[in-house]
Amino acid sequence: MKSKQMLRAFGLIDEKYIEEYMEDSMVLRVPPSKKEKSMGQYERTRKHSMRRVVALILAACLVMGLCITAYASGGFNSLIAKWASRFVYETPTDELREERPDYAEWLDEQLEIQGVLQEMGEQAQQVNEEKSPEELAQASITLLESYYDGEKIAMTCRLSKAEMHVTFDFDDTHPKFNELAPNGTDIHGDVYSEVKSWESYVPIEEDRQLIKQKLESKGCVGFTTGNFGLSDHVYVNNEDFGYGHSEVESDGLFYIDPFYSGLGNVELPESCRDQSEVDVTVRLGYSQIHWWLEGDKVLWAFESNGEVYPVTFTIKNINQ
Amino acid sequence: MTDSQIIDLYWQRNEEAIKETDRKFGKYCSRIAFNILENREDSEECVNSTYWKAWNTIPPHRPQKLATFLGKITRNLALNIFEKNNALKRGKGQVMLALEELEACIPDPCSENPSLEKAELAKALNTFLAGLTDEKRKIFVSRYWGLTSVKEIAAMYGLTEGKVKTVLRRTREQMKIFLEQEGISV
Repeated sequence: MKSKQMLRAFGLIDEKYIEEYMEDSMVLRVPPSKKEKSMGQYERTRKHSMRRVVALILAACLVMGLCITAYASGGFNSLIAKWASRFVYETPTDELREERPDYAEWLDEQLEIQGVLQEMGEQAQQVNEEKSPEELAQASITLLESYYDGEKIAMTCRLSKAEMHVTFDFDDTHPKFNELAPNGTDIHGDVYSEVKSWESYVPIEEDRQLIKQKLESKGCVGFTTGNFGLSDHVYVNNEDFGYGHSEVESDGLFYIDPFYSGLGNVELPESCRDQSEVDVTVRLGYSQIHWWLEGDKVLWAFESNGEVYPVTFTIKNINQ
Repeated sequence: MTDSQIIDLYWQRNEEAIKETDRKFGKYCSRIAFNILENREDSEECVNSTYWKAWNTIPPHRPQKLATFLGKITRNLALNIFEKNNALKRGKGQVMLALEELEACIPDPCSENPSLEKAELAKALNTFLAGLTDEKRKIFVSRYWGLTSVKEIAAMYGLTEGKVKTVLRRTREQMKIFLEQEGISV
């Protein structure tokens, strides 16, 4: 194996380079070995205790210093930085390596992006701007953090009250009634061929109880759930920069995804670079699912009016 | 005790040489062995074998730097043990990760002529290492000579793991280009 040869060849490199390594590695903690216990145990234990105390003091100072720095820079509160730090790539599994022969390089790139994201998060401006256009009913989007440096964009937003109360006007007279199908039926393409349990689409406990009561008393119940969901694309100064946001999390948070804004292969469009401010637009689409429960049977049909509702935030260049 | 005093003990065939070696270089050798074997018992055995090999090599040898001399023996022995233990296994430890990382930066074609290339490669590696900045070189040698984990390298040089990985990736890419330019076929 050629890499083994290479690794062996490293064993023959100039000793001055090994000396450099040796000097630097000497400062590192060494895993305790059994051998150490047999040699001057008392002396070593005493030295180790002293070293441990010194190391603990140094570690405490370091942690405190880092905390102060992070707090002062705003990094402590940055949701973008926290989001970036949640990415876990550190434990590559055998399966992952097999799936990705270029795993090491891919990992390097991911970590590089993660590092940049964390830096961006630390410099992001704290905002609290809520937008709730009429078309969105009670739903709203709040911009919590923004970062734009002329080349890169990152934003943290929260989608609130995107789920609606259920309505009970769905019955066998509804035009979608004939399209009802059980899970696994591919009627709207792969994306919509599976839904989770109906309960997960009914966010309000009162509604869930009401559905169960109706089902129990009549043996069947029809209802409709509706929600606003984010359209895939994000627009900057009305230019589409593609799929540009993270999934909406359970608490409504989502992140305008800077992977596509100059960090990866896709740069911001020319008209969006080096501006004093840019308009970033996300779009919400409204969709409904009609449900028919009958005994143990769960049937459903998807419906969307095809409309999208834009919500725009203006974010300023942090360097200007 | 200085290196030359310890070497004198070896030359006098005085068993104190081993004790003094362990006292001064035990931790350093243990770290090299542990980086490769990730097992304390195997590492301990490897370090003991290092001392035994040193005892049998000095004299006639008189190493200039005892630390590098012992480090190289430890590394070789640990790699031998590792290969023996892991002949059929893949996907564990720093060695396998380092091998995977290196795999991508070795120019084709891979030859079946190991003895010739190891020396040739080492010569090229020295030239390549000499052209790197101190920081890059130290990180690179730590990873591929010392088989030190990225986490520890980051701790050693006060860098983030991301930064270390970036430096390693870029240096590997540089090395690949360099080896190709030198016409080195591994």
